[in-house]
Amino acid sequence: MTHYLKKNITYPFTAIIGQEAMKLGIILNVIDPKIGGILVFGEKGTGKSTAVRAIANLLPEIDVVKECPFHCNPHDQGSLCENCRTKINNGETLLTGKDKMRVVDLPVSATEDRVVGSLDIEEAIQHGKKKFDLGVLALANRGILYVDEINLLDDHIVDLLLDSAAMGVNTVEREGISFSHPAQFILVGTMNPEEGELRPQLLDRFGFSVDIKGIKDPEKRIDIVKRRGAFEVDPHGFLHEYHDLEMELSHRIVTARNLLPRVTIDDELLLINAKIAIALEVDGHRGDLTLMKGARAMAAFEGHEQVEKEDIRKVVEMVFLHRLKSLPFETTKKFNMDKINAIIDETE
Amino acid sequence: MNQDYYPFSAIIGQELMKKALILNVVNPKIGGVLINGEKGTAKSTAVRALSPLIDKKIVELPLSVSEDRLVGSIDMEKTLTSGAVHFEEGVLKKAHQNILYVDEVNLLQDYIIDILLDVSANGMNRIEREGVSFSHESDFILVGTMNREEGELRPHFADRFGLFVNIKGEEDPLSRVQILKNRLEYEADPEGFKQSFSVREREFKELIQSAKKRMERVNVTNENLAKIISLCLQANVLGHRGDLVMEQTAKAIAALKGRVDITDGDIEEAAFFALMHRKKELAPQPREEENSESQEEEQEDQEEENQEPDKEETSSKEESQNPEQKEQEEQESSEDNREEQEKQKQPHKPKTESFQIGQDFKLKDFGYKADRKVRRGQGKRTKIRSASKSGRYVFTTTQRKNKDLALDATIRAAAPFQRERESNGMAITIYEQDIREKVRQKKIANLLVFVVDASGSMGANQRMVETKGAIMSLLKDAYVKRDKICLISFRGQEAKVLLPPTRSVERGYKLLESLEIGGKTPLNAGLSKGVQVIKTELKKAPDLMPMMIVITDGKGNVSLDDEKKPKAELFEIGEKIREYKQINTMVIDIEKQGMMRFGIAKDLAAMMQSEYRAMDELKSDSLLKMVESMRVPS
Repeated sequence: MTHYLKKNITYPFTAIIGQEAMKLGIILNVIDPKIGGILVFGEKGTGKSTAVRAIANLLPEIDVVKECPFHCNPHDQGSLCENCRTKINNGETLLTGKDKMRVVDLPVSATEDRVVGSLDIEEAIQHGKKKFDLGVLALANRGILYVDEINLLDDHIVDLLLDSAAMGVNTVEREGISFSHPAQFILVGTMNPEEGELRPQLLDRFGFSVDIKGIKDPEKRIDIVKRRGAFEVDPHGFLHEYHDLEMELSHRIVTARNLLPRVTIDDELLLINAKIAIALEVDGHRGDLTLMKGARAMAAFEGHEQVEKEDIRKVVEMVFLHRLKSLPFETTKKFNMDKINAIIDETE
Repeated sequence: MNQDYYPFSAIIGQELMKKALILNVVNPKIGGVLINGEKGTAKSTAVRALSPLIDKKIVELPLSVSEDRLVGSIDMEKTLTSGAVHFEEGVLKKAHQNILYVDEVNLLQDYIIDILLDVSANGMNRIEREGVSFSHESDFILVGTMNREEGELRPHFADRFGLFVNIKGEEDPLSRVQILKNRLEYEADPEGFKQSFSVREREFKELIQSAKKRMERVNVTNENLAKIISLCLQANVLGHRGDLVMEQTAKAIAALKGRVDITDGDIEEAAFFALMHRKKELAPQPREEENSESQEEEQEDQEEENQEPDKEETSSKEESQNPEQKEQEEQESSEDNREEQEKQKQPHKPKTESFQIGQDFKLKDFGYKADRKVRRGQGKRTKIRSASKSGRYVFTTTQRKNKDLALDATIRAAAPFQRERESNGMAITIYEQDIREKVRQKKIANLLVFVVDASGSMGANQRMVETKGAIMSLLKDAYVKRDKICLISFRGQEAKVLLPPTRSVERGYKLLESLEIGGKTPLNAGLSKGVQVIKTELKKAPDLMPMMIVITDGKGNVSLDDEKKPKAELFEIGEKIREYKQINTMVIDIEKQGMMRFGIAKDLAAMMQSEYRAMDELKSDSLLKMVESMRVPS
């Protein structure tokens, strides 16, 4: 079963204590979805899904084509679903509505049918009707796809998810019927490596990763419990209390999104970027590319039009944490921030 | 939703891969290329970028492809509306005269590889199924990528790829910067970026086209052929495909260079691309008897090859172990100190030590025996009847299970009744009772429960080193086949679950490294612990295929029940395990050959109806090994 964002009240993003890296990772992905999603390593009950739901709730509603199940973007003709495109071709205008960004959950037991959607062939041969049951990828278009314990999914389903996330399209073909629809989403996966790994190839296709732990500091833990309590007793009052903070962050993200296309990065920083990837001995070039994108999104979030060294420093660990290993039985190389700082500061 | 192509000429570095791709385009007879290498190195980008240069389509084969989609299937809509069987073509038809691209080709399901092998050998796709007979040409350039750590490619299949290249990321920082800049520009303005490369792309296209034309005029002399064959012989290449591919590749190389004559240099370059994955690994120190090249000896050679790797490994191990042994001794002595300190606290704790992991090797196939139970799961070890819609369609059933409709059989079932049925607007009227579903077969993973002897006697003659090497090999195999694993060791008075069932094979590896030995041999406790773990797991997941792998010499000397003799009790337990049909077992006998043998492990295996392997029987005798790099023989 797929759960839509519950209609009841979501805990505010700005009220979440700690887990700064994860929060930042999610925000940067929202600013630039091309970063490629985020993989969260960590224990249960560390506020992972709360943060994902909260960010979607925080963002302003998006323009959607009314009654389009894919949440098509009326302002982007290139990414319309077949149905909406046919309407345009027939000279109709698309009715625009507004809706929240969706957060779609994918359960571990999901079958391929549930993910990509399925054609009800029985219905078709008995009654001549084509019936397509939309899968999770359809619902996640322009939203966030949240996959808890992604390492326990079938490899080929993880493959499908990452393929769709990269291409922005999902194609289903069966028994002579084919169907494709836009599937642009931010993939947020969580996993506990103790229960099983993901192949290094699959890991590499996630933009960011963060390793989160339960908060140890007793004072902070008390705060967490208190806030949660306050929220449950009086959710509306609690929301009201955080309203300004929420609006401020929302505004900052939207501004950053608009700024992003203008953010530049100079050659000196690109060279640092490349040197870091070489020093960490990671495979291939996805790491450098993601570091560049991540740093740009970071700059946009900070409100400057040019990437600075600090922007690289802030995202570098998220970019490389899951890329340090290239072979299945290799011991993971240590992520050494001192070494990276040395590279960043050396080229003055 | 149009796919954007990154311009081929904008790809920086990866010259080998680009060259191999272009050679194939210039001369499709080369037969494709297999690209082995690091992730994130523009493999897919390069392959996709070829398309506009050569006016061919790049047809991608997803790993999850079904047989239907690959070979084609009945077109439901047309069939039902017209009443005559229409065939919907699959990927193989689309790939005809185009490029078939398979990312991570080594992870394809075996039955899909069988089909690809068959079709690429014949250039034809033939579908013969009850009632449907259809064939069409399917001649394509096969391009695959792989990463060998995730599983090897079957030698037969590897041989189907004309060329082979190994690639790595660019190491020069400035080139990397250029890669980043290009990408940045491309993403900011794809059209503008493509525009800025349009001249280069056009020139490139012309170059390819003129080379293609020139190809037909390239002349292969007898000297050229002699050189080709001598290189193949030197490289110890199996079969004749190597010769043919070399010839075609050399022609393409010459044509690209604007010549119609082939030079020795062209042939050497061709060898670099064509022989690496066909080369039979040569023994590093060839023995003198092997010098003669007469053909009669070839068979003998192969037999020798079979045995040789063992010999090499043991000899090289002995050499390399000397320094390790010293280290070990040091470790041991420091451990002894610690042990002694601990001993004062825990007087009963036996002395333990830890050993290195010996050389790992490729295994013979093993696994839970196939049965008829319908199961759900993933992985690659045991063939099962699939409860999901994935797997190979083998036959049909009237049983309704998961809406996996078999259209061909359904139509056949409905056909005889069409005259008496009322039409519902379609050419064929189908009732509920006509519906047939597909029965599919696929492979799924096992739960491998390793029950390992860690008693003190394992320290003798480096037995633990070899045993760890064997377990390491099993773990690597488990990783490739996606098995769940569990690690139980027995020593002293008891058996311990070191690693509860998990898919993290890697944790198994880490535990294996630190596995300590010492004390008595409570084999019986090990076996019962194994059974206990499996029973619990089966309750959670009845579809599980549990296989208990007992690694022992059978010489247990501790019984669970003090009243019983260890050996008598062992066979009692063995008998119980045999009766527990859901558990499969395999005994790996580590009793040393040659010494006085008791053969208890063998008896135990017989009692449990286990698979039985002496340790040195685990190794696969697969001959062909792809080599990572190769110097062109001259």
